[in-house]
Amino acid sequence: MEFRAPDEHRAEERGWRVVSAAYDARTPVRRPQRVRAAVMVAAVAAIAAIGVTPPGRAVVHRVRAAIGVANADRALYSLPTGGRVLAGGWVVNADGSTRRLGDYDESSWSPFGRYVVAAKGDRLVALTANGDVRWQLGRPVVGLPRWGGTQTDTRIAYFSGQRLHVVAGDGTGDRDLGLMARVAPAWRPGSPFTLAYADRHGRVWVVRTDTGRAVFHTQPGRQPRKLLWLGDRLVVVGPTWIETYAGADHVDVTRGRFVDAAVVGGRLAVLSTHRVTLDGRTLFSTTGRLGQIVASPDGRWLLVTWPEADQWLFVPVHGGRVRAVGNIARQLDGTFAVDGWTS
Amino acid sequence: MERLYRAHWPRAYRAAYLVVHDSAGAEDIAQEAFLAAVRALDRFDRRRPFGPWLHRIVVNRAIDWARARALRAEVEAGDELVAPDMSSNGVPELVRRLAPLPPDQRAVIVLRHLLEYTPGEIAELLDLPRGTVNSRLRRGLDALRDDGVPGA
Repeated sequence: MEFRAPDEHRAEERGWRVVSAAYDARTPVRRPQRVRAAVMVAAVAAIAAIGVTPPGRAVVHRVRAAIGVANADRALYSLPTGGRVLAGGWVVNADGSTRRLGDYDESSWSPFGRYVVAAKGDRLVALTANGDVRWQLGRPVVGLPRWGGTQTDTRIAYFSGQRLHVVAGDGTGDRDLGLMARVAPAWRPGSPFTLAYADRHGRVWVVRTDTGRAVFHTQPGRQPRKLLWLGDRLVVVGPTWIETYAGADHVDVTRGRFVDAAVVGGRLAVLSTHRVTLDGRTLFSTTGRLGQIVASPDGRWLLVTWPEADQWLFVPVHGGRVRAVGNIARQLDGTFAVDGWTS
Repeated sequence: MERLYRAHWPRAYRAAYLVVHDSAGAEDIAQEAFLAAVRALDRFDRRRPFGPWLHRIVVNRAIDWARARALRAEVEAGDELVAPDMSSNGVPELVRRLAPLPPDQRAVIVLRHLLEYTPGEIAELLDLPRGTVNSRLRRGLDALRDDGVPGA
């Protein structure tokens, strides 16, 4: 009789969801230069031929949109406002200068931006913002590190494989909370050790990690994409829903197609596949597929990634021109995803 | 991609499980291997067979995982707040017999007798001298034979 491993079929289905999502999200390989040039020439010729009639302008917009925001800066000369952006093992400063912390896949700022926690393979590493390693832990398949807490006492939540861990900010007292859904946990601001995370049944738990006490949990359901806190309200973002909880009370649900969300200036900015909205108002839209959204620390800008165009877009919250920066992956040695923006 | 995945997942997951003897770890390892495949898809030489390439990643990661687990110290989990582990409680005979072997011996036995690679192919997959593969196979099978596994 052929050997079968435990839970084989369900593991296969879970694995397919993860692998197919990665396959759908992967950045297409850049075409060779000569082909890319041909595409650009065709695009320019098409734009010139169309002229400036209203229907022509709509087509021009669509062509531009398909290849990214036109007139994008060719390099990241500066951030539109202060602070530092974290992307994998890179820190991008407000003046556009960059510092490489190391070869890391994912990272997270500490609550006040003095430190970074980063993951690479089987290592969880805590560093200063200058890249000096403070401590590291060896754990299998480390990912989704998130740093929370107060100025004097912090905690880091992270995944080792499918197991959620919490460790003190100095690397001590590592606790295994068990098998969970591999969704980034979210520390509640202003409540130092309160953590939201999703289990494998689609329930979202809010737990005091210092005492082990569960504050509340949601009903089982589909796996969320993202968890975040809007003040003291928990926001659960799924592919087709956004639910808001005030304590255990389910206060709001929004339907649509959602990719990401961020809290900016005390409000929820939502990223759908093709648009950015804030309080229902569209700030930016495109025919391209957008990737992530991150808020600036001063609440005036949203950083939106556009993987297919290799662009970061800076969208002003209060209106104004969208700033686009191209060639991001080339400038950051292949890194593109954003892990945070701190002051 | 799905065709590739469905064709190769079962053996990748089983191989990982036999090496690490942990269903969650095996699932992570198999997923990671396929994610590595997705990342490398555009660069992959399609004249090469996919299976050996995938199995190399699976087995190497499984060995590393098993060694890392042996080294790390884990504190007790807060079980009262955690959803129960839904993996099976059944432990087949083969898994129990393999469990006492070191990870690198388990790996070569899995590659030889589950995934049916020759010792030469195993040597290439794991980047080892052929003699090393043969001796690990022999020691592993001797240990299984001493344990009363028939036909080993």
